[in-house]
Amino acid sequence: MSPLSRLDYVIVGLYLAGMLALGAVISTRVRAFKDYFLAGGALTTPLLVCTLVSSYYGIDVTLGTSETGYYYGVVAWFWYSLPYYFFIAFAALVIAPRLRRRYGGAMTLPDVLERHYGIETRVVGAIGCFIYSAPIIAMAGIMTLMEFMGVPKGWGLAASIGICAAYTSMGGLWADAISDTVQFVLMCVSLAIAIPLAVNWVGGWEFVESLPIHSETNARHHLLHHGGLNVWMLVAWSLTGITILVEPAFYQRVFAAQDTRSIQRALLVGILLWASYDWGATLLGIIARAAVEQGLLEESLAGKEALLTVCMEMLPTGLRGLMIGGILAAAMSQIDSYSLLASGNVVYDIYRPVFNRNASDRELLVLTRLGVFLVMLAAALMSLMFERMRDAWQFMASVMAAVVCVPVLAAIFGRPRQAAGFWGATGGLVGIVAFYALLVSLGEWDMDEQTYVWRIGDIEIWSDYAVICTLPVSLAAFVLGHFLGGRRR
Amino acid sequence: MMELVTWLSVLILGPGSVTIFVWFLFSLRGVFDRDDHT
Repeated sequence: MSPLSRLDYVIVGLYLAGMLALGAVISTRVRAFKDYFLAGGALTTPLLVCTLVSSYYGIDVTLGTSETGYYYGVVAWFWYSLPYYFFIAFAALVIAPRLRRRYGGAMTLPDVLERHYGIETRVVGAIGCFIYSAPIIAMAGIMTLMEFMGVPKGWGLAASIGICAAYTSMGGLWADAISDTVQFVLMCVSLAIAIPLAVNWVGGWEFVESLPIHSETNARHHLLHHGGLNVWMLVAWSLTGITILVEPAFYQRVFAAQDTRSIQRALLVGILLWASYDWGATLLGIIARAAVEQGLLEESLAGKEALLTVCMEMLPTGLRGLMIGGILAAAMSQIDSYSLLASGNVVYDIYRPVFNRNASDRELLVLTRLGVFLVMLAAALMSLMFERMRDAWQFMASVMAAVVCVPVLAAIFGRPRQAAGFWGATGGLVGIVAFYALLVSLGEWDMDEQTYVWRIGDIEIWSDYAVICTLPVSLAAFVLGHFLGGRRR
Repeated sequence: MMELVTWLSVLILGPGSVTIFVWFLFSLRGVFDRDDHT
């Protein structure tokens, strides 16, 4: 039976109808591809705050961070989230001004790659960006949500994709950014309401006493900043934050901002919101774990359902609808933003330069709009491949970091030779494919952790180590390309 | 410490996000007015 009442469904329905109407209104303002893809380069600070916070923090954070909090505790915030804020601050203060100064007229990250390394590197980079941008986790999250609400997965997914695709196709980045503001408020406010109610529901702050005590260390690992995890795991978690430096949505918003100060202010304000949101999601995961220990929730509770279960158990009618709307908003803001980016990767970054240099603005517009639909469908199918949300996120972030991190950062901060970029990007791509092929073929499925672990003697290699293992491969290939490859740009 | 951080988070996510939304509404009018004149 569905945990929602008629009033909850009305709230969710009103929200979805509003998004659709927004796309229709905004579509009348789209005249050229730049209007569509970069909102005419006129995004202001508050609009950038809303769109960056809600796009980057989708359902992967809402459900994924609470999942990690449920299993491991506050380490999710200290070693997974906190490093991101340092990378974001660096991106705001150092990278954003350089991008605005040196790449006038650019629209995407592959544009930056092509200017330094040529068209081949652009294409390899666009493939990496596409894999990263395809909203696989958000789709997996919507499926979890639908399952939870008692809505048949197929119907729920079709409705969410249909509405997201409709307003994004119609209005492009304008519709995306403005819908993000509504989604931003909904996701933040719903979490702000849920946090104190959840603490009260679990019996006040004394709930920490009911968290499990580790048999070997005699400590509550959920409350330790390192969570009892080994140092390599912590380094691996921290390093995924490096993806922020090559985040396609970040580059798109930098080029779409009305000026440099707007994007800098937006990112710095965003850090406060991201940190709060992460903490809230982590805490709800920990509360779910305490509730399991207290017998309030079933022991078989899956980590990815921790946040939803707590909210449905303790929120009254109406607020449940608001919470579901908030989580749906988090997923939809990610789906619309990243589908637009992924479609742009295929049409603007690959089709236009490789197959049709003279493609008109109108043709790019039509194809990108069509691509938004196709990307959403492909992402829904790909989401079925991953058991844990964090695995999907690790895979996408690792591909992105391995392929474009070294070439892009070298281009922004140095003067590498043209061949270095292609070698670095291709080396990273080959490295990440080899890593996952070896992990799946030589590793074993760990029933407790629900992921592949490859054991070589005392050494354990987890999917979490993908960035640590493949970034050096990309760097080595880049250095080789620089010294053995073609001319200096 | 956990309590303090949690209440700070609630303040930022609740009143903080609504304030940014109001700021956005004020800025939106300016954006579209400028867009109409170009």
